[in-house]
Amino acid sequence: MKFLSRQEELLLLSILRLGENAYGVPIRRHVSDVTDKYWSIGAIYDVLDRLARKGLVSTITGEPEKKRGGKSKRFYRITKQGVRALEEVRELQQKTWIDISVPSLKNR
Amino acid sequence: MPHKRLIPPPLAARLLKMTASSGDYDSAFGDLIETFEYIAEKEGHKKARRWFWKEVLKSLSGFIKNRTHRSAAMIKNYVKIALRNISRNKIFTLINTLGLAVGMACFILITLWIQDEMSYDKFHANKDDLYLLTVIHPDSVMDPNVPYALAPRLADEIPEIVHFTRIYSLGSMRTCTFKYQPSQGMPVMHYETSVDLVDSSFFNMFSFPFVYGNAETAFRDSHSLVITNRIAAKYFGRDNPMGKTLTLNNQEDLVVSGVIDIPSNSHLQMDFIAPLSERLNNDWNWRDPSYVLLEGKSSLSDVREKIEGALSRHSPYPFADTLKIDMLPLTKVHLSFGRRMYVYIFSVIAVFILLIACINYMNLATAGSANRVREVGMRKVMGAKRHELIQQFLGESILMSAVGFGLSLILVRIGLPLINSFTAKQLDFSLLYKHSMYLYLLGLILIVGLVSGLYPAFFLSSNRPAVTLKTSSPFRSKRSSFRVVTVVGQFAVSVLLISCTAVVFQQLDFIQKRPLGFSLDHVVKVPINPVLMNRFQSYKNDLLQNTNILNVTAGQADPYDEDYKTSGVEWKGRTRRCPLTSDIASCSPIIWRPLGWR
Repeated sequence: MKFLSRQEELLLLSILRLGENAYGVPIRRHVSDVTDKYWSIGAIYDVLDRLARKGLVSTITGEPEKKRGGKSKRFYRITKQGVRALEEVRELQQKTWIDISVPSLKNR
Repeated sequence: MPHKRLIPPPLAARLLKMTASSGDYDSAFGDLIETFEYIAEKEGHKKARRWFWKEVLKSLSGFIKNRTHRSAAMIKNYVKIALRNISRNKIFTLINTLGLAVGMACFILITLWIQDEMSYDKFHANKDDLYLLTVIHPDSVMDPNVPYALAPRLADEIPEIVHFTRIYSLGSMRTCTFKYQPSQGMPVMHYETSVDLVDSSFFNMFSFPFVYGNAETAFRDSHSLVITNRIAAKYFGRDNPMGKTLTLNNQEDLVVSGVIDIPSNSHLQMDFIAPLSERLNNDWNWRDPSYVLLEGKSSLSDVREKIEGALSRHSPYPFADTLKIDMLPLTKVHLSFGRRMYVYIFSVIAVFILLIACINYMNLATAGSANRVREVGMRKVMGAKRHELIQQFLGESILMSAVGFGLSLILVRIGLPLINSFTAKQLDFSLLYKHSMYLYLLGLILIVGLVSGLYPAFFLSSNRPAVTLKTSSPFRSKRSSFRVVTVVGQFAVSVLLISCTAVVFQQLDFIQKRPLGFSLDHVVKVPINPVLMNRFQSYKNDLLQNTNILNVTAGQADPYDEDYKTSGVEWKGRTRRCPLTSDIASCSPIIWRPLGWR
């Protein structure tokens, strides 16, 4: 099985963290905050669509809201497969980083 | 700003809607609006708008990429492979495209010719109400000439006829000379053959464009003369010809009252037009055409019924009851009398030539596809669907067809002067610069591309990858019967066209070289005017003074000219069932004996 990409991992984790409120706007805000980079909505949805296609997240469409120009929110929930995939990358991370110390750049 | 509803820039929103795939769109758009309003509240409307635009533009590439990424990459690959194939088989490609180009050039040239043939006499404002009077002979031969006395009688009888005009061809009856004496310098004098007298309503019926003067003043008095601008240049150079005097046969002074330009697609071609002064109302001679203008809304069948028996009612001819008078719409005159068949024949030939070019491309493309078969096998292994391969090959053939079209335009440009001198037409390259023509030519490219590419596309994409990649020779040993059929068909059509051409050439050769029973060698024909004709004997004696002249004779018409028609020829054993219209020429054996003719 393929491992998750960094972007996928990032998105999955933010969906987990946001819980009930995981839809486009907060996901994007959170990812932007964590990475300290600008994420366009297109970039977010690109990854979200991929996750949905792989079955790592499921989607629930909410009621249309007047505040959003009559558009509904699409909420994301992480699936069992999604959790498993996250665990896999964490294990991998821990295994590969064990006993490794990267020389700090500040000391040079 | 609570009282003012904030909306994102509509254009940007629209752009997003167009590019986003449907699933993404709703929630993504909702997210955008939510964030937009958040920013607008916090940092102002202006900033929010700018953000919205930036966001849309940034997302665009993602959305578009998502949608078309795969096909865009494939198209790039197709183009690359196509270019590689072209550069690998330069001569092969050249032959192939040249074949298409020649076929298309022929097709375009024939199209131009047919278009010109169809456009005859359509420039007249009254084109739908103008008719040529015709006589239908018992063997249903249509005669475009009617007796001079007929048209005025019909106009008296039938109220639907608004105007009529007869054409009295003076130039074919006797020799005409025109002389122009400028105020200083030498007179200009020429023999002219295209001199016609017409009824005064002529210019009210036909709308020939006037260069000088106009339709109302053209025939103001009986000495008026309307000439074409070619004739104006011949006699007057660059001077204004209006009001200048031309002397006809050294007798009659005619004053130029108008200069017209007769388009080449007019079946009426005349150089000098003068008003017909005689009424000719009892002249049942039968040499020239007459035209009538009907009232706009008159019923054609009613008029037809009324004129049908006019000849037997009025004319003195005893055989008139076998002849019917009919009308032919002006716009059909040019294509009647045998020409319509040429248009049909050439249309068929054009399609055949195009078909040959397509089949040629088809066969070359399938035959020279040894490497392509491997490519197809490889593509299939990599997961290409059959319809994608078909698209690829069709795209290639349409590309080739477009290149061939470009070359064919060059060929048309080169070929047009030749065609013009051959068909005596003035076709111009600029006839292609028309909106309807653009569409037609685009259709030509697509149809040629599709027809020639369809079979190769299906043939190549049908190969099974395992077979093509495994065997050393990718050709299937089985002969394609389709290809055999097309090759045979192609050769059959080619042989047909070539042999037809050969037959026509031999016929022309035969007509020109077969002994006629009389010799035209060393015979000179000189048109002379009536004055000289009256003193012919002394003229002859003068000529015979010259030892190079062996003999001199004169006559009314050439014996080999077909001038008159009759269906009144009778001979022993002739039955009514065998009607025949034959040509007659006036001649007498005494006149032609001096030339050694029998």
